[in-house]
Amino acid sequence: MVLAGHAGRMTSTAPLPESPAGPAASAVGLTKTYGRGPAAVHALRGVDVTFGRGAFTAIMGPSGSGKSTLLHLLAGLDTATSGQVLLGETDLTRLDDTALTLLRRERLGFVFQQFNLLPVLTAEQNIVLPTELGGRRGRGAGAPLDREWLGVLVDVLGLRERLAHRPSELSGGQQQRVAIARALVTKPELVLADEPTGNLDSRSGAEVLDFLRRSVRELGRTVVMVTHDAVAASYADRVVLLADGALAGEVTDPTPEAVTAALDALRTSLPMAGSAR
Amino acid sequence: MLRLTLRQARSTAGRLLLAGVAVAMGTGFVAAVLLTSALFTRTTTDSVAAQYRGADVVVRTNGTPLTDAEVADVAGAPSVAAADGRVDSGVQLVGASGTEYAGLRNTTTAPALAAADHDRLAAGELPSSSGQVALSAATAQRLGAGLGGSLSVRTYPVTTDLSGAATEPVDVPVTVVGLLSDDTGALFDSSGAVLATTADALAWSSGSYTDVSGAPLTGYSAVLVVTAPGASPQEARDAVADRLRTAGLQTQTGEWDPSQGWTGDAPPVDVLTTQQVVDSAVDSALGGTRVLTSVVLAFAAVALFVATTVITNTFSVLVAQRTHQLALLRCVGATKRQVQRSVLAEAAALGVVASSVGVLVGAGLSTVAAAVLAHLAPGVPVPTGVVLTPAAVVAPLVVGTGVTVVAALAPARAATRVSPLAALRPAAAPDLRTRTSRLRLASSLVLLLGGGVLLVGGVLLATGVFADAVNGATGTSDELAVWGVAAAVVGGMASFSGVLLGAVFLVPRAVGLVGRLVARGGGAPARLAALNAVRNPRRTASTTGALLIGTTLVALMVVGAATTSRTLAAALDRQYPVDVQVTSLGGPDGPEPLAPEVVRAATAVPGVRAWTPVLTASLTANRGTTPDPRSQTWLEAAAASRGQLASVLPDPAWVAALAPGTVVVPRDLATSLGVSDGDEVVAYPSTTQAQYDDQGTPTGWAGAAPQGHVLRVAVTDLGGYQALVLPGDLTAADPAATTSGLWVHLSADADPVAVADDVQTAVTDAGGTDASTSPVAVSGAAAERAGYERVIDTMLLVVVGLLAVAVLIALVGVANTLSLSVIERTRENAVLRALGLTRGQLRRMLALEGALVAGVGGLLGVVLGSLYGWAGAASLLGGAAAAGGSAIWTPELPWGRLALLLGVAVAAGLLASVLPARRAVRTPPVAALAEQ
Repeated sequence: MVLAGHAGRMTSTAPLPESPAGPAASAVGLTKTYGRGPAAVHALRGVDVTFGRGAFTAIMGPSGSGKSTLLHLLAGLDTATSGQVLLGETDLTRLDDTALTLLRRERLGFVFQQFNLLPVLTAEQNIVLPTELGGRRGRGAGAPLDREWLGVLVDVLGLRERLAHRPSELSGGQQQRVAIARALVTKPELVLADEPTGNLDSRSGAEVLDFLRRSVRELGRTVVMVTHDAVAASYADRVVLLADGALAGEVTDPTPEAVTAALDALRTSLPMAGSAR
Repeated sequence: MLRLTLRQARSTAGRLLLAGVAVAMGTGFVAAVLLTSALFTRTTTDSVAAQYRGADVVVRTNGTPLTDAEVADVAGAPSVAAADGRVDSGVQLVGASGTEYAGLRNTTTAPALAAADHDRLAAGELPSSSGQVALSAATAQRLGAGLGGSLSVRTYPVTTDLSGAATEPVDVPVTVVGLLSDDTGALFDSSGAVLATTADALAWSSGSYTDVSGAPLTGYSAVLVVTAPGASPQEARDAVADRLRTAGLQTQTGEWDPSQGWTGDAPPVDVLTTQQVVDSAVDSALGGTRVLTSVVLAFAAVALFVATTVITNTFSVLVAQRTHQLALLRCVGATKRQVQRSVLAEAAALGVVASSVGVLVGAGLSTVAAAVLAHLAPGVPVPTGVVLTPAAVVAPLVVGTGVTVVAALAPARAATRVSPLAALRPAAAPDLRTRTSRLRLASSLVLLLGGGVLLVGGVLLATGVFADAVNGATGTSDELAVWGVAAAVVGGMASFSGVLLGAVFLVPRAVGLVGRLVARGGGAPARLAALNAVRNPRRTASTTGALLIGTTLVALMVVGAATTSRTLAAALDRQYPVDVQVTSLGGPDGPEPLAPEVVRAATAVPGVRAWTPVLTASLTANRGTTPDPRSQTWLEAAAASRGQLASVLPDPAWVAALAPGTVVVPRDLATSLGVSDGDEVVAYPSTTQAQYDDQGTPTGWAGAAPQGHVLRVAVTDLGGYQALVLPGDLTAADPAATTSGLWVHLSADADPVAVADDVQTAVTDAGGTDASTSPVAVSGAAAERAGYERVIDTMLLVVVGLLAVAVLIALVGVANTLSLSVIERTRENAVLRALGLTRGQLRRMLALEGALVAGVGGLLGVVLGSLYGWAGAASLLGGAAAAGGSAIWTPELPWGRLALLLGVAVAAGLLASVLPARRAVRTPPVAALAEQ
């Protein structure tokens, strides 16, 4: 367990042995301010962070620490006030809405707390949705569906028997597994998960986290997950701590106890600082 | 609670907006109709009342004029202060610059009645002695006579001479002593244009009434009565009636119904209060207006019905969205009733606001309509301004608010079913799916099938298919046709109700089917649009059903009109086979040939494709080979070569049998002649006189028996009553046959009315109507056909215009449903955006959803409307044709117009998605994802 200083000057993060090709994504001096003048809320204050390829990173922090904002900026769903967000070589802050949309479609995967499956589609239709958004023709037709890959995902996630079911006919855990399959189906460079276990019981939550970890270990994906649950964070290779919109340290090879301790340390050093957001 | 309700309504005003627009459109329609009708009623009442101003009771004859003695009787009745005879007639005025027929009335001597005449006097004075008249300024000007000028009154003395010789008109010189203002209701009160003294008026109007022998009767058409002080008009009326009865007249104190008949010498005399007279006059003057008003109100009812579906949808969605909030209210102690009332109060508030807007819009429309009418028909006094009768203002308000509240009843009931527990659960996506009941399906099927059978049966009955089987047993084919039409109407309405009731089963399936077809190859967005369109079957069904009503009715009208038009054209082709006929009418000495310059002029008109001069003769004919005065019939015949005739007739087959010695006889003429194909007839000049006995039965020939020319009959499908022969045969039958006709065939692309007009002008210019030559008439089927088509098209335009309101409201409903869906699916759309759906794709997805719902509504409407249109046209035209002896109707599908209707529906669906899509695209995905 290594506890970095909360000043968070992280100039480099050692890449993991499995991913020699440089970081999957990074933020450089990333700032996000909501509102103006005295009412301004500084959600992120110059965050520099790098997410290694083929790694499972958890982002933790108290409410209002800016972890969700960071995730949204990494996803190109929100625009930064200043700084850069790099996905591979691409600077997301320089892209217009359509380019960002196509980037999300082709290079990113999402897992939401609310699952957010489309109720009118079956599990299988939900999984393959990202590959079909481009239509058969048209601009940015996106990655063609890799049937073999789909088969692997379905088997790994244990969804074979559920493919024809509608989301309303699936349990929460099953829905989230469908959502994970949907996030992975285009073999995205980066999978972003926002509190993926927040709406699940602990057993289903453990399953989902296990799948996320397997997708990194066995399927070679890169996953960044926002969570407030120390146990969930312990599934990651590395935990990045945020407080009051700034990096507040990190824990590598985390255990639940280590994460909890780091969070406690954070709270004592920052007495309820981040409640503004 | 009420405050909370209103606050809630205000916070969701945007969501209520479109529902409000729908209500306002419906009530605006109702208000416009009622206000316009009120305007005309008021104007009519005013002008009728002005006619009897000053009188409290009116005695009116229904036959024999009232005499001076009877006027005296009336004046002598108790409760009567004064009575004066009223002449209400017409007279022909001859002035320096023209002749005009004007209403004639006498001046009055009773002071209470004279005020009305004095008030109308604009200049000069009222006539006080014989030979003086006062007339309306406009009439005077047209006749070229100013104040003090002279005119003549032309009368036609009636004689009892039955020889039929016309009597010479007598011109009586008169002086214009007064000019009348002609502002008060010249439209309805035509009888006040000329005022004369009673003596003159009686003299000039002599002959308006005659006795059974035709001898003229002189007298008054009415007696105006002023009641004595303290007596009511009813008392005076009854007293006058009593007095006249005593004098030997039959009277009645209500309106006389001519169908009741009467006993004695003459129908009874009406004794009525002025109010009764005004009421009945307004009734009869506005009878047509009332019918029109109720017809138009029926269209308004359709529009309002469509509006209810929009309201119900809106409130269902609002309640679903507020589940959490309603549950919270229940948690903190609100009763079910309070929750229900809050929804209904919100609906009532919406109804009041939207209906008020509607009434204002309606008042504006009615003012504009009156102004436009005044502009289009100058000279006709059209009332202007708005007459705000309580009924015309209150009725739309009540109806609009009532409709809104009624439409919100079901959603309000749904609100009461929200359990307080729902507040404690996390807000789930509102599930509006309701089970569709078996009962609904069953009743829908019963209505659909039963109505369908009735419709088909009615059509068959009306077209006379069963006529042979049941004729004589149940009545004539006329009666059968009427029953058939009635059955078809009831069946049509029942089956359409079945369709609407079953829309919840039918429409989502249809949308799903079309959606799958459209989605094929369109990728995920298209598929999602198709799936979203049927996501809530009931909502989709009611949205589409609303549109279905309008489009079905429009398609029905369009197809019905096209079929009617086509059938009429076919019938006219047969009846009047020649496009344009130029005919010399002949002089006093018999037929004369058409002048060559007339033929040249007529045939030189552009648009004339083929023409042939025809030889015509009026013949007498009978069956057999020898002329027989006892069985002779009139026979109009025309002759030209077969090729020439074929070139001007719509179907050359009609004259294929024409050969020397053959007469081509139209089927109807053959029936009336009593001949059939292959029979022989003998024809001879119609100038041959038969000799008659005392009973008028022909016994032999007045002179020498005619020679006669024997012809073999060939019956063809040609219509009309003119037989065709070759020129040689016609001259053989009647040596006096002349080339008095010119038959013209127009090119297919020519405007028949314009060409017929051009031919008329050319003929006139060529001297065809010059007094020195015999007069020439231009007639023909082309113009008549075009005239019918124009009438049908105009009616279609009006009806479609009236239906357009319902269609428009239905399209507002589509926009409403879409925008509510967008609000409901904010989160889902955000997820799609996060997963990589571009803004354009989201917009297109919603556009496709709108187009699907509207397009399927349009498509079903076109299909149903076409079927109903055919059925309607078949039963009506078939019935008429069957009664006329020839059962034909030609189904017609106006593809262009139907495609246009469908195109409008689809385009409107696309358009309806614009605003909802703007909202959907504007919402940033992050905000939507953060929303719980």
